[in-house]
Amino acid sequence: MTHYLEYVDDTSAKFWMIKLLGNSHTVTYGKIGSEGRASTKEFDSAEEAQKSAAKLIASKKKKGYTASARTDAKPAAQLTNDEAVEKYGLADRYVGNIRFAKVIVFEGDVEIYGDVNKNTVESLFFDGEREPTDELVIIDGNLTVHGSLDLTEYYPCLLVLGDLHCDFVTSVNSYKEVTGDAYITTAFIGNYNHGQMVVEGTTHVPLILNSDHGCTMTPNLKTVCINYCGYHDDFFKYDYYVDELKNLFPDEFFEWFDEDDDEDFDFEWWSLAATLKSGASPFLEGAAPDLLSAEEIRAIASGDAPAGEAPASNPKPTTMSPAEAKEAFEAFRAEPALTFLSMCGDATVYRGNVTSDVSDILDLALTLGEQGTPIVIDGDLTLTADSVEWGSESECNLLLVTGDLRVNHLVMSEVGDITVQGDLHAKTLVGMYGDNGGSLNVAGDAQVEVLVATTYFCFGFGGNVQAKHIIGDTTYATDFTEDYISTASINLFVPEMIEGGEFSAWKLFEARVAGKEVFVNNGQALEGAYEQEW
Amino acid sequence: MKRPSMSAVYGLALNPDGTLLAAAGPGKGIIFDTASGNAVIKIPGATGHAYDVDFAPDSKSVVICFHGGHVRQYDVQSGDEIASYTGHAGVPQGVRKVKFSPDGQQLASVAEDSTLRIWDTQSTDEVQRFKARADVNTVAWGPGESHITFATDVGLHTVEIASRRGKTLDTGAIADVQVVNNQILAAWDEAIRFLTPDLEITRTLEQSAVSRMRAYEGYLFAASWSGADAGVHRWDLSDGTRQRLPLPAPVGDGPHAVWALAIDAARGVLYAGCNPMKGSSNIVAWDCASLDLLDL
Repeated sequence: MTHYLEYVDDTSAKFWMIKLLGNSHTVTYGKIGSEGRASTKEFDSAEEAQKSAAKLIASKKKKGYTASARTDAKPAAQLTNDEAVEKYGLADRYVGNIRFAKVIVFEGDVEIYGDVNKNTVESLFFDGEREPTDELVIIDGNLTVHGSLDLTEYYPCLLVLGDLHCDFVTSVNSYKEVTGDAYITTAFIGNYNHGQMVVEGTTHVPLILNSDHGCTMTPNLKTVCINYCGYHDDFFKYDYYVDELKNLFPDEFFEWFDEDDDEDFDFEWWSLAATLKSGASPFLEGAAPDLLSAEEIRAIASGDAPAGEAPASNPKPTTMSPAEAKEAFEAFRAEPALTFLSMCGDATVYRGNVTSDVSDILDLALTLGEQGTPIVIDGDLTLTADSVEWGSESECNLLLVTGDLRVNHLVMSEVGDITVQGDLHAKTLVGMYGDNGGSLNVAGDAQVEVLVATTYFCFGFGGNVQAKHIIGDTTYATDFTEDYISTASINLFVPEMIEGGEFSAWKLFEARVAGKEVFVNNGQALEGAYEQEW
Repeated sequence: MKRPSMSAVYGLALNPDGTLLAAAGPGKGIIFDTASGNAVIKIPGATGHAYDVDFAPDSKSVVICFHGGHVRQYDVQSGDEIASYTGHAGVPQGVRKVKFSPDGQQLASVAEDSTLRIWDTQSTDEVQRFKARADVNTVAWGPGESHITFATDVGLHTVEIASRRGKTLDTGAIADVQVVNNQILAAWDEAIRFLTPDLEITRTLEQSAVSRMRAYEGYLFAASWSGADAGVHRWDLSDGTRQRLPLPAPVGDGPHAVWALAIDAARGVLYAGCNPMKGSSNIVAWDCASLDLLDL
């Protein structure tokens, strides 16, 4: 987070800027117009760095420095809406939905020191003269803000035809569109259901905190996305109702209207934003430890992206009784699945896309629902592990995916049913020993590199099956009218796939996961006799 | 020939002068005098089924292979075990076939452990091993003196023993392979094939479930263990026609499952080992020319 201050009097014009990042801060100071001198200081912790920065800022302000903003860039043109639509193709952009009274254009990259907000926008974008109206500022290049981009209601909409770099973005009742990537070092906070933040590329930001503001963004894999509106958006890992935020944040962020009514309060996101901007953690100590790790909390507060693998953007589950689940998914038209739904206990239902790194679907059951309960993913299911197994351990194996299923290498053995309403994408799909009625039914298309159907396991595909290789025995591969490789044709497999003179589906699965070749001659039968060395 | 007390016969072998017939079956081996029909040697105590038998070229001994993975050599005079070739895996990966080399210096054995093994008959040491992908069902020395041919559930192989290089042809399961006049005979997928030493198919005769084949002058005798062709057929190789050989009715409702063939070319007699048949031994014999059943 950057704080930019200036001091101007009759005899001097100086700036002082501090950039706080993790456990260090960098102070740059000098005459306005010069690059200034910089010095970096490291601390034992992010908290110490933040305290030092706060002390220095207070000290400078006491000496007469004030928050300010400055840029060397000047507007290159002022266009009418029609001119801008024609020149910048606004009709194809989100901001094109608005008819602007005025369009200000900056050509080339723009670098701004200080925050962009209601106090600074006039000098930064309008040459010091502004009569607020429906304005659009187009940056025809990259925009770098050494500070926050806080363009909220009644302030100009913004179109960046390039990348955005800044410390913080607040978006309330305003439209911002970035055609490249966004690099936001601390957080994005969206509020209120008017306006939109659109980033066509990737948004690199540690924390997204949003209510019902339109967010058309693809966060990078490390982003912690918190949604606190009553409905779920696609990419939010942590979904809360607003009252649940009381478990995450201290009382100072809440305004209570009635002390006796737990529901009657307002969440002061702007206070939380101020805390984040100061470099302090806004989270309660140990808040929601099952959802946010201590490391994630520290990293968010310090403006450092959390390390490690992507937090999956999973919705929170709800529970449905068999009858409710059957009714809710009646339109799903998957008879076996519906039958199971009505036979089993309560279903664990996820409204939204689910991503999981489990390597055993049993763990998915334990992680997402309770063992033995049917799991319904009302969206896409993406399993990110290299190898995923599903063996029969739970009493009622049922996985219903109303969207697409994406998985790398999946082996199913002695399991219940997986039903996928959308498409299936897999590198390897092995089904064997489905003697509890195991089946995989896909209503849509299936794209699979290697599909193995053996021994009592049922595959059903409603759409096209695009598979490089289908392997089966004569009994269990009869659904595939295209040529398939018989498990008896063991000469088509490398010797490691053969166990006791027979093709081993399990050996094939292991080899596929390990990235090893499983076929001789790419699974094609060799014509005639061939040379062999023993 | 007196009826041997065997519930089925899986392997038959004649000594070079045709005076002795060795039979392998469930739990035992028996050696008969072909002239008198008397059992001269009973080899008891065998481990599980005896699948195949072969006479040493000097007629002094036989080798029998067993379901238990054993390959044992017995003196034909005393019935004593005189050698054992150890190395194949045991139950359930039995040894399917054994075959002496023409000079008797080596013995080939093939097994459900997916190997062909060649043994030195003097030392009983394993001198070569060829690991295949599937159960090895059959073996024949040749073509020529340098090669050996063997077949599995999925392929036919001919290999130069010294260099260990050879040819492979992917096939269905093959139960028997013979090398006759530099031709390889093998049957899979409902037909007998004649192949060159390079495994190019030159001729096809349609017969299913072929268990054994024996060539005789311009004929080929081929036995089947099940299906419509169960029994024994004689193919006239000049015109490709075939004749089914007469057989007594089998005991029970099963087909004429024939597992073993042996031919005494000098006398023109074909022996077959079958499942039990009514009114007859489970070893039958025919005159190769007239195809009349011979009274044993």
